[in-house]
Order: sequence, then structure tokens, then C-alpha cells
Amino acid sequence: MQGRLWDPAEDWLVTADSPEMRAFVDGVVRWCRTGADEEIPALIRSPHSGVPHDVGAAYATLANRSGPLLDAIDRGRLALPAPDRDAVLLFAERLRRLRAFSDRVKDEPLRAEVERAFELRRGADSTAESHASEAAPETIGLADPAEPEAPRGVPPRQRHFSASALNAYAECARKWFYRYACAAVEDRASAASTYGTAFHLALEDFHGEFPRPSARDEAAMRARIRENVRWAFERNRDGFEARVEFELQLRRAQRTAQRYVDWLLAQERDAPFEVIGREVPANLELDGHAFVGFIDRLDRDARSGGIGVVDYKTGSIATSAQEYRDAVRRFEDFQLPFYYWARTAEGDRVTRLALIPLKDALLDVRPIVLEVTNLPVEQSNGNRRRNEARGTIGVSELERARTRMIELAGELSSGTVERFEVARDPDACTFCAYATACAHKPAPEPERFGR
Amino acid sequence: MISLELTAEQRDAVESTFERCCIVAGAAGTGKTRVLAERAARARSAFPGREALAFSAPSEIERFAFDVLRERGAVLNSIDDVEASVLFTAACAPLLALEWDEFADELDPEVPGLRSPQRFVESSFRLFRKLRDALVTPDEFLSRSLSGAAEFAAKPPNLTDPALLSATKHEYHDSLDVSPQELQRQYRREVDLAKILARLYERYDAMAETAGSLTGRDAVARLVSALRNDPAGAAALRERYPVAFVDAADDATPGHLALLRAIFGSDLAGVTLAYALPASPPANAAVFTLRRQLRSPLAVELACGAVAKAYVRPQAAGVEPAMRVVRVRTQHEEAELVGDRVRAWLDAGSPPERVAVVLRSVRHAEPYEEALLARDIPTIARGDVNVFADRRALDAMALLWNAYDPFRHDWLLRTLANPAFALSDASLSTLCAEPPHPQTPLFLLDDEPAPTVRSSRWDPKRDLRLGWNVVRGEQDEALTAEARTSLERFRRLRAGWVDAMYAMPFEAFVRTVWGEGLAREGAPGSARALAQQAVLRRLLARLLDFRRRGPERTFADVLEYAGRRAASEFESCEDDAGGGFVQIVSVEAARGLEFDEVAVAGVRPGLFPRWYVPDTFLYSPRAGMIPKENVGDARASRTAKFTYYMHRNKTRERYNERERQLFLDALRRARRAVLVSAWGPPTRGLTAPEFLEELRVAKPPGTVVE
Repeated sequence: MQGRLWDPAEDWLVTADSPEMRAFVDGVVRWCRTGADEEIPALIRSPHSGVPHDVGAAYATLANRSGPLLDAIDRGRLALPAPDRDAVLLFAERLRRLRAFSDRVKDEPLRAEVERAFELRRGADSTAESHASEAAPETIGLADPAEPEAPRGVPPRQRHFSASALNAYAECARKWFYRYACAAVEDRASAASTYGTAFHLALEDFHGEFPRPSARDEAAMRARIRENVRWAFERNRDGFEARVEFELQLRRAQRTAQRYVDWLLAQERDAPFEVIGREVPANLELDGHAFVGFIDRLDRDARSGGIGVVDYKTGSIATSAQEYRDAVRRFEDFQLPFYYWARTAEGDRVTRLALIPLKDALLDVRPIVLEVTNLPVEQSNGNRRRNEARGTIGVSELERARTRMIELAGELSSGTVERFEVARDPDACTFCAYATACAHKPAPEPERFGR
Repeated sequence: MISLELTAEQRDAVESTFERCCIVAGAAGTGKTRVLAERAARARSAFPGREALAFSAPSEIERFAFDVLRERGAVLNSIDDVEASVLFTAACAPLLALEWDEFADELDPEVPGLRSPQRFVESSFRLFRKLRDALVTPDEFLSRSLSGAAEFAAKPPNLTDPALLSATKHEYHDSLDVSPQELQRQYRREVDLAKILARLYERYDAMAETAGSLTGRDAVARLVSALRNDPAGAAALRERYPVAFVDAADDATPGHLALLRAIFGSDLAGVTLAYALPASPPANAAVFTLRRQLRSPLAVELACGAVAKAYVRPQAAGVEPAMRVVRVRTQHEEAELVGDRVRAWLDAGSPPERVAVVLRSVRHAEPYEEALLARDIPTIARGDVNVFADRRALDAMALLWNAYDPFRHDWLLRTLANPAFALSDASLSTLCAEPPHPQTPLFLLDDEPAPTVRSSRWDPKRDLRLGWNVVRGEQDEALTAEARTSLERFRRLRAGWVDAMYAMPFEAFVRTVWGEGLAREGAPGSARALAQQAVLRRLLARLLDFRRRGPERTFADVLEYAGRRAASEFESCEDDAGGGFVQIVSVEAARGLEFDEVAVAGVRPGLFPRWYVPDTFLYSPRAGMIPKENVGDARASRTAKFTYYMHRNKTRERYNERERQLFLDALRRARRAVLVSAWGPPTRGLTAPEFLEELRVAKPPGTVVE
């Protein structure tokens, strides 16, 4: 049976037969047929939805996180003034009634009902381009620049600092500004970061069961880490956009995990250790500034009793101890120095800082290790050790890093920084989540490779 | 009537018969285009009442293919590579979702590249463009790939050949150290890859067919296929067009030539092709080589000879200096040098449009552009430039986004800091903060768990806070008076834009928004202002064209379109902005153009020439697929076949040779003078040639090395 939902109203809104209207009606019909939630954000944004423009945009934004948008509307998820709330509820009600009605009619009558339900009326399209002979002027009129607002200090908002925040500031002050001072744009997790999150989780669980790697347990370790990796990736499945990516990154992680076990077994022979902490909170107050973080792993050397701070790295990292130490010296990386001081403050005798690369399943695991020494800086330098994975770092260098951390924290919490400059190195912009916001980022590197 | 101004060698070419294929070969500036034009004029007399096919570039053959297909009744939508890549991405969706039945037993998805789906899609699309250019069908691709894989696995070459080892970088030696089992494993991965790619290729074709959407190369392939099956149709075309002229035929693909053969026969009788590089002419072709340089000064020609390694130092005394070769320390210094030189050329009387800065690629030409604008020299980039990614275009798009969606905070932050509103960092930060006394909370139930579908430390309130603060004015009290005034102005303007968005014609709306919210760069009439205008005109023209081509396209579609274009590697712009601008032009777009003075800048390995990096997927009709990445339980990052193929085919050498020809082509754009510049210390030129150093060493007469 075909019928009508509403009686024709006398005071329908006269609406142009525009692309927007056609898209809206088509979208409603599609939604009635499929019930696909992803149609609704575009519908609620439409000028024909009956929902005020910005309210529609807000709900459409909310839809990225809320699940079914009509449910969110039902629950009044957004706090709105009464007229706006009523408009949104009416929109949802109209859609539902149309859907209930739609299985009784074919597309064309349904389209007519959509037009009636949303009080649309066809008319001339005022947005159509004029075909009159008068051409648009060649010059595009532009505004005069405004007088720039007098700069003043950006009010501090952070109550604590992390090594990654300081690293971000060292890389690009503007990035820090967008991420920590504005926090208005989400830096969404990439497949690479999800891979890292999952791998960290797997190793955290694994070492909970195997704090003292041993050749006797090899078979059990290999089986268990396989399960840990599988479970951790399943938990983070949403972070991979495509199923094939999930499956293949999981395989990569499984292979890398087996290489990690290879390394554990070799390490157990050469320098046995015990895992004494996983995801250990690192809280440190320096000169009145709170620093927070989490240490991936803490080891105790079975022979010396010294504590090793271990950080897992699933992305690209320094390829030698010297390269990492140079980054510390240039105040580009504060992570391990911060962990060193956090654990030292807890009373640990930290003797070793290590980065464990877990990116490449083709390669053996070859940690970058810095032994903490009291030697003068110059004695741990030298070209002879340039490419080696093991090196040393002096306490004095770690002290310099700590001093710089305090300086930066002081600077950032002082409320005196007026302008956060962009990085000079365009590499900082490659994966930057704030690139669209940043109008003054450095010119990108020219493409250096041809195919 | 043949012009008396032709040289003897030009005249010979012009007067040659139309009964055979005619090849006109010669370097840039030797008058090939002139020969083609004169021959075309002769053809009009020789074939009265009939038409000639004249293509100033082979890409125009694609337009012709569309015309013929439409005349034959096809209903087609012409799309470019950016749009085709969107279609291709859709074709890949079932693969990426692992929805193919073959994954149950027949195929393993762990094939080269697929672990990073986006890169896989991009690489596959590039491969398919090449296959289509070469008229390789999906079936043929699969068949040749399978036979190539089987042949390599059954009879692997000597992978311990000293010549192979010495030509291979040490870091890739491990790829040659393979056991028979490893070769078999790589063989299986290669076969699966070929099957996956062939299926994608088929699926893309089917979707394009259904949508009636073809790229130019698709249209050529379809017309070739149609004409091969329709000799009468081909003969009719030949009757209608007895002759064809193709300039810049070096760029012709096998598909272009196949279409000409389908019409004019395998010996291309009646076709005149102009080549800058040595070509393999069809049998019976008449070849005319133009040697006399008509454009560039002698000094430039001698320099070209030196770089072409065909240089015999002449007893040329008193060659007027026309070439300058300069190396400086930094890119900034080089850009300044180029700016000064261009300024001097203009001051000496050259009109701006007669001066060019030629780069290998203009995609990232900002340092040079900035140096010219700083000297008040109007300039515009042309070639592989992406107008949608231009800083000025992004400022303009930001305003359209602001009208459409105040919760796209990235665009909102961009606008509020732009010179029309000019808020300070402190005000931006304040606007992003929670108001002390919000008139309305963001969410009705603030104590409810955050509405998030995946674990994240991100507070979803942040998705809305800045937008609401700007739209509702909830943080106004926390702003300074001048910031508040500026923000109120933005809010008032935006309210007008929202009202106008669906009420005004699109162009009028865009002009209104930009006119009110986009600040002019530089003083009125300055180079910066002119350059900004040129960029905005380009952008507006593209947006309008998109709307006109699709009457159903909505405002949101326009925004999405611009975003897709900004992210695409296939964008380009050949528009010269109408004169009055010094052009920064990519070497490939400079073909066929001439200028009085030319600066060829960034002449260093990694820029010009670029470093050669083989694509993820290589294909050869004989070897089939040559995958680069070694996947699965591998120890080496590259496949043995790839390393071997790179050596055997001397792929890098061939690439570098092409780059060399492009460099020569760049030099020969100039009628009067050339500056060749580079920055940074020279390399040893082992993996990529150092053109500037070659000139410095050769010091040909007329070249001044600074």
C-alpha cells in the first residue's frame, strides 16, 4: 500500500531545487533503504534537515565517536538550547517515521514523502551560476590585513610535563603549542602507533610471566609471546584501518617477537637479568615542576645488581649509541635522561639505559645501550665507536639534560612565551597532525627521489 | 607555400612526401615545431577538403580518442588520474577488507607492499597506468607475470656473478645470498602478488566500465581495441584524416603509437613525428635530423655538447658568454642568487614572461618564489605544482571550511591566525580553553563516560570546545579588547557566510567569503598581491570547473574534492597566469616553451637529477613482475629477482640518462642567457650525475664559472 505520512501543509518552506536538496532527498532515501549510520551526519548537516547549521555540524562531529547518531540524539547527548534541541529531535523523528513508512513504497513516492516530511518545496535554484553575459571580475577582491593583536604571554595550562612533551617542544615549538596549549585538534593514532601500542602491551604481559628469561623456558616463552601478541593486537584492532593491515602487521609483530625471544635467550647467556618492573610510573618533581611518564621496563642485572631502564621502540630510532647520545646532548631527546632521574630519585642505582628496536622483523634485535658512567664526556667520544650499538653516557650529560628539562618546564609554565615558532626542519611536518592549522610551516623538502 | 625563412634541413623535411612516415629529429631549438607547422600547411594544399590530425603533444591524442569514441556512440565521462585513483581505491576495498574468496585457500595476502595498504594502492595504481600506457591487458599481465616468475625460479641466473656483486650496493648483497628454498618461497610470493594485481586491474576496469569513466590512456586503449576489430572504422578515419602530425613525440606512449598505427597502418604512412631524442623509426620512415640550433646562443649549445658527452672542443674563439655556472653554500643563498639574477635581467629590459626559473620539479619551489617576491618580481609556478596545496590556497579553503564546519578546528585555527583576523597565540590558546562559566555545558551528562568508541586519551569535549567558543562567544570575556573585536568581526562575517552558503551562486559566495575573510598579501599591485591573485584565480577556476562538471555536487563535495586534490601526487597546473609573471616552471612543463633568459636552479643530485629509486612494482614483458620488497619469513629486505633485474637492465643508468636529456632540454629553453646554479658541496657523481660539476670541469667556451 502506498500512502502519505503527512497532509500537505499550506506553509511549506519554498526551497530551491538545488544540488543540496537533491543530495538530501537521495540521502534520506538511501538511509531508509539501508539504515546505514554513516548517511546521517551528512543529512543532519544539510540545510534541508531543519536543524540549525552549527548544531548539525556539532552532531556530525560527535558522530565520529558516538556510534549511531540517532541514539545520541535520543539521549540528548549535546547540551542545546530548547529550540535547537527540538529541531534535532524533530529531525530524528522524521527520519524514523520515513523509515518505518519506506518499506511500503517505491523510491519515487518515498522521495515525495521525504519532501513533504521535511517541508521541502521545489523552486528555482538560487545557487545556480548565472549564465548572464556579465563575466565575473578578473580580480578577486580581498580584505585589508588587520592590525595584528599585540602579543602577550600564552597562559600556562599544563600541570605536569612529560618527556614526549619536551621532545615535541624541542622538535617544533609550534607543534607543542597546538598539542598542549590549544589541544583542539586530535592527533589520531596511526597504524604505526597502534602497532607500537599493541607491541608494548604484549611485552608487558609477557614479562609478567617471564621476568627471568631462561633457555629452559624457551618453548613456553615462544608460545606465550605468540599468544600475548595476538591478544594485544586483537585489543587494538580498531587502530588499523584495513583488515589486511591488521593481519599483516600482526604477522610482522609475531616474527619480531620471536626475534625478541632470540635476543632474550642470548642476553640470558651473556648478561642475565631480571625484569623488576613493567609500565612503571615515573613521577619526578624537579625545581617545582612535575614530570610524569611510564617506563616500559626496569631490569636488574643479575651480576652487578645495577638497574637498567629499557624503552621499546617500534618506530625508527637512532642506529648507534653515539647517535642517541648526541640527540641527548643536543637536547632533542629527554626520555631516557628523565627516566634515569626518576628512578635515581626512587633510590635505584641506574647503570644502563637501553632502547630496544622492535620495528624490523628482518633484523636481529640489537638494542642501543648506554652504560651510565662517571667518566668525563670526552672519554666516551671518538670515531672508533661511532657505529656501535653500545656506548656510554656520563652522569654529567644526564645532569645537563635535567637542567635543560627544568629550564624548558620553567619557560613553558611561565606564561611569558608570546609566540611559538615553527620548526625550521620540514621533516617535523611530515606526519604532523597540525599541518593544516599551521600556515607558516617551513617549505617542504623537495622530492629527492624519482622513479 | 613554404616559408623562405626555413633552413635547408628544415625545408627538406617540410617537402618530404606524405606517403611515408616522416621523422623529424633534433634537439630543442632546432625548429621541429616549425617544420611540423609548415608540413601541416602543405598538407592542407595537398589534401583539400580533408582534415589533418595535429597534436602539439601526445597527450592530445587522448582527447582525440575520446572524440572518436563518442562519435562511435560511447557515453563517456573523462576523468583524470586523481579521479581515477579514487576509483581505483574503491576497487581495492574488498582486497583490503580480505573479502576475496581466494584468501580462504588459494592466495596468501602477505605479498610485497600490502602491509602498508595505502602505499600498496598508490604503487599498484602507478603500475596500472604504465600497463595501460603499454596496452597490456590484465590477462596478458598475469600470463607474462606467471611465465616470468616460473622462468626465474626454474633457471635462476648466476647470483654470484662478480659483475653483479660489484654493481650491487653492499647492503643489498644479502638479497643475492639465497638458497633454492628461499627462491621458491619468493617465487610463491611473486605469483600471489601477480594474481592479486591482475585481479585488481580487472576490477578497476570493470568499475570504470560501469561508471563510464575513463582516463585519457583508458580511452586510447579502448579505441585501439575497437579499431583493431573494425578495419572499416579505421579506414574511415584514415580517409577523413590522411595525415597526422605529432610534436614532442618523445612523450608518446606505446598506446599513443598503437592508435596511430591502428589508423595509419604499421608503417605510419602519413604520420609526421618530431623527436628531441633519438627514436626507433618504423621501417620505410624518412628521417630528417635538424642540427642547426636556431634558438640558443652558441655558448649554450657548446655547454650542451659538454654535458651530452658529445663535445669536441671547437676552435671557437670569442664565443660570447651566455652561460654562468655558480655553486653556493646553502639553498637560501642560491635562491637569493637566482632572485638577484632575475632582477638584473628584468632591469635590463626583459619582460617578466620572457624569463623563467626552470626546476626539475616545482612542487616545492617556495624558496625561489620567495626570493623573487622579495624583490617585487611577480612570479607563478607552472608544471607539477599543486595549486590546492599552496599556502595561499589553503588559507582560502580554510574560510570555506569555517563556514561549513566550525568544528574543523585545524581550519579554524588557521583562519583566526591569518592576517585578516591576526589573533595572537595567547588568544588562540584562550579560545581553546574551557570557559570558566559556560552558558551551556558541551554534553548534557558530563559525568557520563566519554562518548568514544575506542580507547584514547583524547577528551571528546575538545572536538567541540573551540568551535563553540568561537560561535557562541563563551570565552569572549577572557580575551583582550582587540582580540574580542577581531573575533566578533569574524563571528559576524561567518554568520553571513552561513546564510549565504546555500542562497548565493557558488562563485559569488566564494568571492564574498574571500573578499571579507582573506587578507591581501603585500601592498596593492605588489608582486605578492599579484601572485596571490593568480593562485586564487587558479583555485577558483578549479572549484568552479568541478561544480560545473557535476550538477549534483554539493558544497561538501567541493571541500572534499579540494582536500583530495591537495593530497594527490598527480596534480599539475600548466596555466601561465596570463603574462606579466616570471615563471617558475618544471622542466617537463617547459618543453615547447622558450624564454630570453633562463635560470636552471637546484642542479644537484637529489634535486636535478633526482636520485633514482625503483618503484615498489616493476614489470617487464619478459621478466614479468619484479617485486622489490621481500616479505614473509625473509632475511633480506629485497628480492633476488629485483636486485638482479636492476643490474641487468641498468635501470638506474637509463634513468640518469633521461635526467641528463631533461637538463639539456632546460638549457635550450633560453634564447639569450642561462644561469646554472646549485648549493651545497658536490657529490662524487657516482649514483647520479653532477651536471654542474661536469660544466665546471669542461669549461666550454662562453661558459663563465663563478
